Amino acid sequence: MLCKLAFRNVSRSFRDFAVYFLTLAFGVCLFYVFNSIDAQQAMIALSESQKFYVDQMIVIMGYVSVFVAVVLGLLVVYANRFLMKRRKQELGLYLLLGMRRTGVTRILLAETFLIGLFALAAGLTGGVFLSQMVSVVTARLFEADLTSFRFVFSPAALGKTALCFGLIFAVVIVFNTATVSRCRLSELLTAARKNETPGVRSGRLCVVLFLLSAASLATAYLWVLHTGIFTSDLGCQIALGCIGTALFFFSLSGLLEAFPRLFPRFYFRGLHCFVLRQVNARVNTAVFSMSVICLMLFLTISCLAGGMSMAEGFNAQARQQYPYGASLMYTTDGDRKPALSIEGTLRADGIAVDELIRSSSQLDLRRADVRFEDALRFFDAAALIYEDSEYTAEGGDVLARPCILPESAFNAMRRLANQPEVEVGEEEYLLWVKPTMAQYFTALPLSGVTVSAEGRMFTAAGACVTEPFATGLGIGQIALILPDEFAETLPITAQLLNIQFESRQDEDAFAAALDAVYTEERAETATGRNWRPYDILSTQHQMIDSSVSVKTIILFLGVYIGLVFLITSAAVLGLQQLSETADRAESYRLLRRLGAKEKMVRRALFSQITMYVCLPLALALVHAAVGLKALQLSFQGDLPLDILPGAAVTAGILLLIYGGYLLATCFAAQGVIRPRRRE
Amino acid sequence: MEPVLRVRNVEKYYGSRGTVTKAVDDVSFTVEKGEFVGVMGASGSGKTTLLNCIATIDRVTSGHIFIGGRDVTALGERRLSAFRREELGFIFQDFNLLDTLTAFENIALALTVRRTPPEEIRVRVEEVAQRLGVAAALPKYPYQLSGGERQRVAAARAIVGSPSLILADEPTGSLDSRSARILLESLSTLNAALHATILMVTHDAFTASYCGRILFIKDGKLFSELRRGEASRREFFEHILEVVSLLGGEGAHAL
Ligand SMILES: Nc1ncnc2c1ncn2[C@@H]1O[C@H](COP(=O)(O)OP(=O)(O)O)[C@@H](O)[C@H]1O
Ligand SMILES: [Mg+2]
Repeated sequence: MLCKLAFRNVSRSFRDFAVYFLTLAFGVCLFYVFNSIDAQQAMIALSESQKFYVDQMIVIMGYVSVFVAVVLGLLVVYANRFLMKRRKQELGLYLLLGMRRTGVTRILLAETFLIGLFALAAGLTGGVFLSQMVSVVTARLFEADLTSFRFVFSPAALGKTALCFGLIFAVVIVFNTATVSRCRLSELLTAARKNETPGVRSGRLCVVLFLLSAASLATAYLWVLHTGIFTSDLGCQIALGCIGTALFFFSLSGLLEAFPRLFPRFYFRGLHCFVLRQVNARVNTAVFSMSVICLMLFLTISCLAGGMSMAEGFNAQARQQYPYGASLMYTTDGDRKPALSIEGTLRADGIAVDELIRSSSQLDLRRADVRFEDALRFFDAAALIYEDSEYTAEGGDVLARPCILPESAFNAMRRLANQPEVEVGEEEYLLWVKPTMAQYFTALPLSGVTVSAEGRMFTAAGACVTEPFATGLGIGQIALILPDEFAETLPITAQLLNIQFESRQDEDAFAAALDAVYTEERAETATGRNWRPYDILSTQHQMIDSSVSVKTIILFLGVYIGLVFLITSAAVLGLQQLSETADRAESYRLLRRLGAKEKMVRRALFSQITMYVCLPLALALVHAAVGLKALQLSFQGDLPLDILPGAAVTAGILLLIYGGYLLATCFAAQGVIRPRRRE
Repeated sequence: MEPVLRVRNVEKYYGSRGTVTKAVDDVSFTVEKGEFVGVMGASGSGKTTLLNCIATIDRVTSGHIFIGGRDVTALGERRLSAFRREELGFIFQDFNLLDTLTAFENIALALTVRRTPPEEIRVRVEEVAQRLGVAAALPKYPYQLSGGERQRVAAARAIVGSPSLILADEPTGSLDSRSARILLESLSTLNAALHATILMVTHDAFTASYCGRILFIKDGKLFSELRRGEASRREFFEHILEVVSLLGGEGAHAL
């Protein structure tokens, strides 16, 4: 009986439950997906180091999930409160009919349980499917193979989700019980309509404030676009943005006062004036929550799009930054160690070089006494950028002893990495600088800077070369590329062997082979220091794994928190609109009496809700566009960020979740204002 | 000439299975163009129900209502809203102004829903507001207006579209006597000067005394009719009181 009543209630007022249901379902889905990463990784072939990072990520996700659970809990309680407010009259009726409070509580309990069960089922179904996609994304980010794609279901994540939402429901039930037992019957029956006077603000003040808002937003935008986001000014920029946002929503209503005068044709057509006034009144009384939601959406969009673009960017960067499968460096230190062919030595020591390596090239780094003539201008400019005395013309250890690279060997390296070759004339030099410093150096005027090496003068052959010529090895900040006939007479300080592999397996096998041959014992028993033909070994995936893992964690956290914020914003906006519509249901009846067509009334309601819901989104989108552009600029040179794909995916997510809430809200609101049939 | 309103054997029942309330029970009457007709009766006698049926807000159980020669009981939902827009104007007891709109916009709404050009809207709203003495209130919001002003704004909205029939349900119900008198005088003027046809429901004899003809209703049935003729308002008021005391019951207490 009780169950039947609860079931009937839920199915009958399904519209009322729509937003509540959606919040629960999205919450469950999200919670499951991010807690099932643990199980999902089973089907990805991860290396040991990657496993380590993924484990770390899972630990962090665990902590974040607690935070997420709290946010979702508050949201569900908020949504439930709205539902209770809507249903007070109905509950009062039960009491009036002589049902005991415990009975009413039990009905509510059954309803909560029923809704929860449905939401759990829907959310989990979505979550299980979505988590398979997450595995694919993870595999892609780690550039790992999906060993065998199979459908993974994580009982642990299910348990965690059920536990979390069970707790939330417990809170909801306690809340509802308290509401029923505390409520007076008379209160329940007369759901009082709050009577607010629309706060109308003076038009002139609003114009001033709006200009102020535009000015502060413009300042913040231009400033952050100028400095990038990684400066100490960011706090001020954000503060300016917040103030601008709040002022924007505060002054918006005043501007609407001018609307009828400016666009009378639009304003006095159909229900336009009604819709605009309604939205205006709402924004007016909800400046604070509008601003907060706008900023939250901004954060969401930035988290999502920025996180995704950065993860993609880091992957692209990794490939640029680590152009060779492996780099081995052997420091000869002049007299004590002989120069040698690294690859030849490896082969002699019994490593199957010819099977594992696709191609390789060796480059000898040489040393000379180098002076930059007339370079004061040049280095002063560099010093200005660094604002660090370490890098001045005289004292700069970085600039004082660049290593010398012979042109042809250097070009061989560039061929190996598919980079265009460079050309150096007989009396010319080229300056190579570390990629991270490229943005400062490429802008500097090199022409006119002469270099003397061992007393011979060279002039600049062109702009700086910045592509790295080793994978993951630090070879000073700058280097000089000089003509072969001169450079090859100089003493060798270090030797560099770069290798390309056919596949990742070969790369791993090569590293393993080196490990097996050049053991600790061999080092101990070796007579000379040349117990192995390299001092440092660094492979591409070793480097990429460490950099990508951190970024992947950033991405997942960004997406996780971003989605929670998105759901929160959308749900709060939707619920606000619903309760507002319920409070003003009378207005829509009046419109019908004035002869507005049903279609017209419905369109007025929908456009009102859409406008209200999209207003903070629109401003947030502008904020986010600027923020992402600033992000891109801050990484310029370092990391070529392509924002578009990330932004496109984010747009898709926004459309799905935000659009879903918008539809659910419209659907529910239509139920609220539906004409009561008198028959 | 075809009368503005013709009500033929209208019945309206509430409730289903078992208990049936006959809110309106076989009511027939006619209102000619330019008439100011009052419907009087005790609370619960079916006045609002009758008015709502005429207003096309409620559907009759049986019978026919002709407005301007058209049978509104036969119109579909879509035709009805067009009909309401073109032919009817409403004034309700609770002022029913939208509190987010200014008085001007509230009045204009009756015109914008039928896509009147904005220049014309301005002219007509100002003219009507002038006539009802609320021109100064136009830029204000409802919460800035007195009850009487609000009701006159509602009246302005009802007549701004030049409807063929104005329907008013206890328009003075929540007004003090001074505001009530101003509103009623405005309605009389509209009736006299513009030949507006008004059907007003009330339980108050003083309000009713502004009408040209009164229909008395009791338990959903028409009970009697009273014409003002050449009598002054005060004399007419006395007549009404007599009939009301004849009616007896709750109606008498309402005075
Ligand atoms: N929606 C309704 N459902 C059931 N009965 C109704 C409804 N509206 C009115 N009634 C009944 O119809 C009768 C007439 O009501 P009403 O027309 O509002 O009276 P009046 O306006 O003269 O005070 C009353 O007995 C009332 O209880
Ligand atoms: Mg009534």
